[in-house]
Amino acid sequence: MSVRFPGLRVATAAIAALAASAGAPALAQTQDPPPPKAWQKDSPPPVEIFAQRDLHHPPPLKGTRRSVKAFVAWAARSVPSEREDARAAIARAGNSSVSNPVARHLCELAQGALGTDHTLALLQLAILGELKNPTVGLGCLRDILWTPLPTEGTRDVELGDFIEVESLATVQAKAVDGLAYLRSPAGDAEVLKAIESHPSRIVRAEAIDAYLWNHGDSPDAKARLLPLTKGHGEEIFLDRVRKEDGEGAATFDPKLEAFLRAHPELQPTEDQQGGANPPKNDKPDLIPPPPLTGFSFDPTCGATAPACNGSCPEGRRCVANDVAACTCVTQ
Amino acid sequence: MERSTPTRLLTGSVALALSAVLLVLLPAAAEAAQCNQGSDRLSQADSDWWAVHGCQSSYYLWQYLAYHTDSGWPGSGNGFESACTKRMNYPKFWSASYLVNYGLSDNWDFCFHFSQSDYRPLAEGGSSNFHESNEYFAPENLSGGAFGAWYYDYAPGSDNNIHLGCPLFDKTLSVNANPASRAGDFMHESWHGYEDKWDWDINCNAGHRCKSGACTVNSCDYWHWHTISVYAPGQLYQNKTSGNPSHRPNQVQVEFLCDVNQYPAANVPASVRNAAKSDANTRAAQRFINGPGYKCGDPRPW
Repeated sequence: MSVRFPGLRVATAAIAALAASAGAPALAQTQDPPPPKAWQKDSPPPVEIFAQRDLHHPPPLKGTRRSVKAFVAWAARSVPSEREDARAAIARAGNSSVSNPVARHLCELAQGALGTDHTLALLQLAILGELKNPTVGLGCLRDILWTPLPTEGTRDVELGDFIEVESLATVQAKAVDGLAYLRSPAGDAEVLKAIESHPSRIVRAEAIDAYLWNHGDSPDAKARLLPLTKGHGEEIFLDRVRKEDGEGAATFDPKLEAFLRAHPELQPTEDQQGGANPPKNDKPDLIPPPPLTGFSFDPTCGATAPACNGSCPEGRRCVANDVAACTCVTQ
Repeated sequence: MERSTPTRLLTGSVALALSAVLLVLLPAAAEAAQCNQGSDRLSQADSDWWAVHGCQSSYYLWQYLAYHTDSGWPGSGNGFESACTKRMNYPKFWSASYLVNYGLSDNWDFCFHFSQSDYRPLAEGGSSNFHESNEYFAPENLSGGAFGAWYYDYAPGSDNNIHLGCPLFDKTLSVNANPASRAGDFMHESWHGYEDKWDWDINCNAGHRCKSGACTVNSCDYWHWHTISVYAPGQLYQNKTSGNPSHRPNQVQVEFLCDVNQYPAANVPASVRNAAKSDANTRAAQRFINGPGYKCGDPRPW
């Protein structure tokens, strides 16, 4: 553990710096703060918490506001192995008579979450987009996409803009995903308009990717977008490397190498001199973590089914289960 | 955000005086601008991730040491004495670190880098291949609205300083008030420590390069392209790409966030994965001179 300055760090740090500059020995330094504490009792180990969950049983998406809220709450906590359960439940609602009321409630909830909890708004818009509702859904996603960006707020020096602008644009990027996923002329029209004229790069970038993905990344789709990207000088986004869900080195690496062969100008041009190459055996000063407090997940074994095979150490094999999507066991 | 470089380039009494001024002014600002910790400021993603682990004293009693929490936390009203009251800042802080420790699947052929051997030592306070020692301060409203800041500390024997901003903790301030983005900022700020340790510092704007090329914000980085297979576990700190160093703060952050989204542990909730993906793609689209960086995941809504 390194030595750090205590509560009076302000004064002591300044004094210590002055003393050091004069060749004096280091001044008094104190140890770590007292340990944190809590009035609550410990929870069960996380693996037990997880084991108690009733996986793969989403609540039905009915046309009521209550059922929609219940589904959103379930979906928010759903784990990777439940992704297809959520998609199936949303598709059932989207293809039934409750599609419009479900879309309307999702829209109202998402509008309410804008500016108060963006992580919730992202989730609600993800469900709304997946619903593929061509009327209420389309209208809601369009309204959110074109909500004017804030002109005041908390200015961030790194962004050179208001934090609120980035937050809303991030949510609007999720809305554009839903519009593209409609795969309809009306949805595409909004996506194309966003590519050409949305004020945020965040949204334009997502719109380009969403349009291409929903059109099979075809040469025709790229040709369609090329003139729309020129206004902002964003032609390179047409060739952008996408790390697809579930994609690993076998397909991602060749794709990246081909991209760099096509665009050698994108290699970074910085740092050709100066700096040090870190050694390979610097001894870290780290504290070993506590036991996994009941986690049975084997960190060498992937959590997603496609990644299971081949991910275990030699002599062990991977099996799928509901507690940890895959676990390494002795063969 | 990193502010050490300009002061370090100065010498003698100027640097000394400036560092003393910084050290005096910063904590005062922090005390005057504590984040709102009301229950209405806890994001959906924070709440969902908390439900995964709950109150775990064995973890937070390790975490406060591993992350070198500054001695200003106790008694500051940030929940250090209420470590399992999830709406408060210290619980949110350790909960995000729990994601670093146990939220990734460390899948050899699929993820960019690895939890135990890369992201953990990068984020934690102890010195390592990644950086000299860092200590974490209780969150505050940072000047300039920043999400976080890394400061070189001139005092002999002391850690360098990582300050976290209220927008990482208060859901009404930013989309980044979630455990994934908060942990992503651990990576970002700590990488400024890496640049300091190995002398790769840059400083046009707060430890980054000025706006140019494809970058649309004020603080820009180069993206250093690398395949998945080139980095084995524990090698994140090494230079393995064209141009050195092989990563800059925003790229490390994007790759961590994308790993959370794409190769999470089996119990990471959708709200956390979803927020991680959005943050990764927001950053990758606008913060790189030779960008955009990789697109994380496909654009299917769910």
